[in-house]
Amino acid sequence: MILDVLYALSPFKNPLMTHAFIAAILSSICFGIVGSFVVVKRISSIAGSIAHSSLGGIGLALFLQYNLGILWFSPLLGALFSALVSALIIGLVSLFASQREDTVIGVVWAVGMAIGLLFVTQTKRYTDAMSYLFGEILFISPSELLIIVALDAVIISLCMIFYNKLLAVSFDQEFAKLRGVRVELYYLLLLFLTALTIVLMAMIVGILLVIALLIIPQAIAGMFSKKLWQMMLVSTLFCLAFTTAGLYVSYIYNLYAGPTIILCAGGVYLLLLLFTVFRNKLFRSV
Amino acid sequence: MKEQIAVAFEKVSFSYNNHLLFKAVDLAVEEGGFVSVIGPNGGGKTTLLRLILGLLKPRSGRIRVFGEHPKNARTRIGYVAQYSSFDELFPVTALEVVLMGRMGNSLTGSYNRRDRQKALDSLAEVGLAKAGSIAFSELSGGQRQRVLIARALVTEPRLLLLDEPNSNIDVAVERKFVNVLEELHRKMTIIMVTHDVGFASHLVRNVICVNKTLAVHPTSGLTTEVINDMYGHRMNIIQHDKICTPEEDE
Repeated sequence: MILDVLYALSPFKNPLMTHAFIAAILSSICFGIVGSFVVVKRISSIAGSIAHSSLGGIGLALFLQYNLGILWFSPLLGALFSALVSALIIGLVSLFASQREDTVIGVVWAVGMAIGLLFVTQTKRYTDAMSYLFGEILFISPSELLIIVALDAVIISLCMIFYNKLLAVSFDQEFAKLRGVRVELYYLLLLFLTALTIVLMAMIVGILLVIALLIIPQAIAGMFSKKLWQMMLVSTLFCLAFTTAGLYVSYIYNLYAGPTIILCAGGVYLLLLLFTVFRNKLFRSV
Repeated sequence: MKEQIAVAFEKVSFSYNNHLLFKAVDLAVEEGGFVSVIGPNGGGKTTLLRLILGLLKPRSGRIRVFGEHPKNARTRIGYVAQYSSFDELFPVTALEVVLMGRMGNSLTGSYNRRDRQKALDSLAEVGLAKAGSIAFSELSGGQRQRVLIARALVTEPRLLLLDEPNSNIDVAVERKFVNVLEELHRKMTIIMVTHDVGFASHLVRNVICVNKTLAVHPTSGLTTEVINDMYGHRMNIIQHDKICTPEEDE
């Protein structure tokens, strides 16, 4: 039913573009909510590491499918598996080990990609890694749209239920712990939500670019929001604007959709940043 | 008379990364006292607070807060961390920050009407009654510090731990801030880490000097020689009373 409404709203006649437009709307909700936590909790490097390491699972899945005939282990499942494992490793190290967090982030990032590339190159059938790295929003199927609807439902429900706890843990983890909040649990929940979002959203913009939609619209929204839920709402709208504009431009000029979406977002962010710097200098000189 | 002691250290040793910070130190802070903790950077001032909070475990010895293990006494401790540890751009209002002090063990962490009223009362107590809806990022350094104190107060503590509360406060608003501390001291024990020996000196009864060891002096016994000896080089003492001016910063 949700999809029927979105089909009716689509300004595109082309069915591929219509699916892409619906995917853009649905994914903007995930990006807006989870991305806001990524920005305020300052875990964008963790999100980047999770995104890149998911190539390990994708490579493993392709290898198992084409070399060993294990067809049920799809690349999506492989990416989900490796992203959740990466989130768990980084989360546990961050919470309990005395290792440097940035070192572990870098190791997980590089090792995940290395595993993925090794498996892809050992896969018997030719596989175009580009679609995983940069996304294929134009080839989103109706069943994948339903998966994104389910993800939206999970993320909205969890964030509404645990909003206060997640806000407290994001703002001041130590104080939250003193108030009896099981901060380890909520931190891992946040990382799992981030991993889940990254994997499913990588279908749209690819694992190399997904991080951009998790931080750019949220960074812009942060300039206009004084509450976290406002930041989520505003960043969802910005994300929707960027994905729709990027889709439209890529459609008109026959460009790759993923990078075009990211360049739209990055361009607006840079313009706003320059405007802010210019305005601050102007006020200071007056 | 055990219950009259708010914080007790018995032969407490603590090391950080194989670096011995405290060796068999003893400490007793009486309930109702106002104690300031001074010492050079890296000497262990914040570590002392974190030990009292039960966030760090001593290598040996025993720590008791109101006669209990620090973890069990946490609900009676209000804690104001160093101001610099907060993200100034975090999208949160002053009221939301204070409400975090009412967060309990419930699964969702939702707040009821009483929690909101308590949070508003705490904001009023620190002189920020009208600041609840203002974004944390839009407040001045002094106001943010008072919001963090309100967050500690809303927990209804018997012991208040302050980590360098005057580090971001303008000299012009320092007097107002001292007045807030004076009011709070009527109701609770206060332990305050500071770099500034003269800050709120008329309230402070004892000074804990921390520099890899720990020594407690009455305020009157804190001479220039004692301070120079602790810091390891010559320090200048600046009198505060002459530079404080009462001024509204709301």
